[in-house]
Amino acid sequence: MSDAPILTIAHAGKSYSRHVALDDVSLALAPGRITCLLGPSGCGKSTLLRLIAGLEPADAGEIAMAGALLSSAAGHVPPEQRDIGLVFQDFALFPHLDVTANVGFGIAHLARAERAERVAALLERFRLSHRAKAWPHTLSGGEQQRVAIARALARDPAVLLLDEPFSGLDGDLRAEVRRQVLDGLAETRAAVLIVTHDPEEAMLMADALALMRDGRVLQAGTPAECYARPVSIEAARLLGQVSVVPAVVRGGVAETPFGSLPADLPDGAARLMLRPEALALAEAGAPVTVTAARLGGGFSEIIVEAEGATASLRHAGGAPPIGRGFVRIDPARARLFAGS
Amino acid sequence: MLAAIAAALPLAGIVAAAFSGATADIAAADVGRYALTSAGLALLVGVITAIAGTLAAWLVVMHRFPGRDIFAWALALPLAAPAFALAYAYGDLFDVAGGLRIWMRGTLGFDMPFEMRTISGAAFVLSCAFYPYVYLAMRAAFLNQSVTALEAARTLGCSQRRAFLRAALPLARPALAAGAALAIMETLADYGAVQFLSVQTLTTGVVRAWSVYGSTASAAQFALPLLGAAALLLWIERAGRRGRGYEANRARWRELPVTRLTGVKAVLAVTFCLLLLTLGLLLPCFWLAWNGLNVSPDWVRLFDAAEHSLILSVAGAAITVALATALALGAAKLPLAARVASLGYATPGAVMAIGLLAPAALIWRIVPGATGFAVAIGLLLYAYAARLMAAALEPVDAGLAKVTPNMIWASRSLGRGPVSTAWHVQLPIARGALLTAGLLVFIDILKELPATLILRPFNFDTLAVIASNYALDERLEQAGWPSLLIIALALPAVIWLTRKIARSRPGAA
Repeated sequence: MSDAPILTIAHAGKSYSRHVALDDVSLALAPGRITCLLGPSGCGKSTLLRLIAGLEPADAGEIAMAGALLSSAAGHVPPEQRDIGLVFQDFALFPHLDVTANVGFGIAHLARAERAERVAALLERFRLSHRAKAWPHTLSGGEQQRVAIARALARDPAVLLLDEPFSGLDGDLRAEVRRQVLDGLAETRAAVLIVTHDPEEAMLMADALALMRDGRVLQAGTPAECYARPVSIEAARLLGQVSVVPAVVRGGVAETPFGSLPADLPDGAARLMLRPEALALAEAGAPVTVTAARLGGGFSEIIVEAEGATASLRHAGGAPPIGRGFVRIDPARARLFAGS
Repeated sequence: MLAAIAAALPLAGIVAAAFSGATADIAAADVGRYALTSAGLALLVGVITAIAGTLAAWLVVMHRFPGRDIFAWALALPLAAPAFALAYAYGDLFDVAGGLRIWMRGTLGFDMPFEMRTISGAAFVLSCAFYPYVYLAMRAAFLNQSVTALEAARTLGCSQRRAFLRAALPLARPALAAGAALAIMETLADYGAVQFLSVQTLTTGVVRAWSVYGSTASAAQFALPLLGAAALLLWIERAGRRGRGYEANRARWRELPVTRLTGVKAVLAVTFCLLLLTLGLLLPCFWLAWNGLNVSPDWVRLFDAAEHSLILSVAGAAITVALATALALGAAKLPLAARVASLGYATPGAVMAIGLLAPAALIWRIVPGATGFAVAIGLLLYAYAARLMAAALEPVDAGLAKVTPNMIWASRSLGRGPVSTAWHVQLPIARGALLTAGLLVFIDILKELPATLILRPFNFDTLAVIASNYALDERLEQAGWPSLLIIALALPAVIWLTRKIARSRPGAA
């Protein structure tokens, strides 16, 4: 797996009248890797996708693929001339064509036999062979999704973009389709960019993660990096629940309501970010009050309070009684940020 | 953009010609007198079609009675009959010196207090021909009405009938305005019927000024008030359409509360629907055919004309739909273009033709070797396209709206350029709508008289033209044949369209 990026986005910007949708966004996609773009709705991630696909010109910055400029101040390559596949949130299957014709739509320039062969292979890969002659409106949501992906892959694009690919599916189906799509994508050498607002989904699928908020990329890295070492509390929040409690750093040690831990910060006020698993109930440690405890299945979600600060933690096993208790911080899973 | 300019050109021609000076052969008083007649006629037709069309729609949508499902679409069939055909039939049938009236006076001892060759006679004929416009608009409005509003009215103490009067009818008012505006537009545009019934309207004025006095300028002066009225009616119609929005966005569709009519009420309902259908189509057809059987038609001339009519209608439909499609595909970028193009729809054919005469003279001079025949046919097709563009644009727009922006972008990202995308994605999906648009234009061209009369090449007759010529020569039996042929050619298209409209609404069948 080579890490040389096939597509690079440098300082891209886009505004709609007064609203800044994208602000100085840079990102690189490598072949054979899945990058997930994660952020709340309206953060600009879909706009970035549209810019990469060429559906809209960029106001600022450059987008280049394999050394050739696609979008820049100098010009704009139309979508049909970019080697980029795009899968829409609503799938956008052509209602007047059956599954085979939909998948073969982008490869009309190939000879009939070659086209048929490639379509058949794709349908096989996405387990759609039995639906080859079906009309789009007769397909289930998961099938439509896979047809849309197969259609985009038929041209063997260097880059594949997927916009909220699983948002239209729910529950078990969602997990199953995700698995099938990952299996199907495993055989491609395309650089894949998936836009999603579901942190769990992003972490499960991604080789690389980019966290977006308010039109900016907050952090890019592997899912493990982003989860364990967020660059800011804002970035941390995008990947799941966090508790933030005040801390004071003195001589390399941070004092917090839930105990002390070593700190690599100058003396002064700081904030401690805690994932639920960074805090554990213990026999001894910092004294807290357990104010709420709810059973969440194999674990209990517990709210603890000390010196006016609250935090939540996950406790394996049954819910403890409301009242006094002790907690301990796992320094490896907690992050300190300077400032108050 | 080109399509919009094409539609606007004749309108500019009118204004230019009207102010070109050299007129004076027609007194301003004449323009005023004709305008008053037109206004009176328009008012009468507007009121009659509004009442008849609304009543028919209310009966068919809100009630159940024998034959309702057939009437639902059959009531629109008079659209196949040109107004002049009705005028020939009724002008003869109800003529003071005609057989029916003589028989009534002699045998029954009384006479109909009715004179066909008056404004009220013309209003009767045109109402029979144009009530389907109101009927179709009101039917759609009633079918789309909010059941919740009706039910709310019921819970507030209104009876079913009062709920209809106080909730459904006011909600359908925009549709009524739109339908009546269409009927009035057609009334103002009509030439054949009023001409035959000797009612002098602005449109007959336009044709007369041109054909008798040979003055384009004075014809244009008659045309100006028509153009103003057309713009006003168009505005009313569009405003009415905007108002439909709040009826359509109901949460979900539910079966309308339908009243089953029995006994006398059912008989009355059937009688009323049958009466409309009879007056609008069956009786005139029968009378024209009955009279026509007395003479042997000039088959050669008739088939020649039928061929010309068909060629013009098919070619005109193809060109108009192609232009409308181009306009619709580009309309997102040019909303003004569509607005301008739609003005053509309200413009009477005679006005359109006069507007084209000035630019036509130019073409004649510029294009060397242009034969008169080719130029005239070109101009005629052009006039049809300019006039009917908006009629075609509406279904085409609706059809193209079925293609989501993402489908277009999907096609683009799959390597197809804008043109290939239009050809392989947008047009195939809008196929049905294109056919609908084509048939609408086909029917209208088949029935068209004044523009054809003015612009056609010498000795190039269509069915409408020879019908009009026979009628002018008082050879009414002969005029029946081409009229009936027009109806016969248009009827399959009308049936296909109305059945499609009936099917497209839930609960219609």
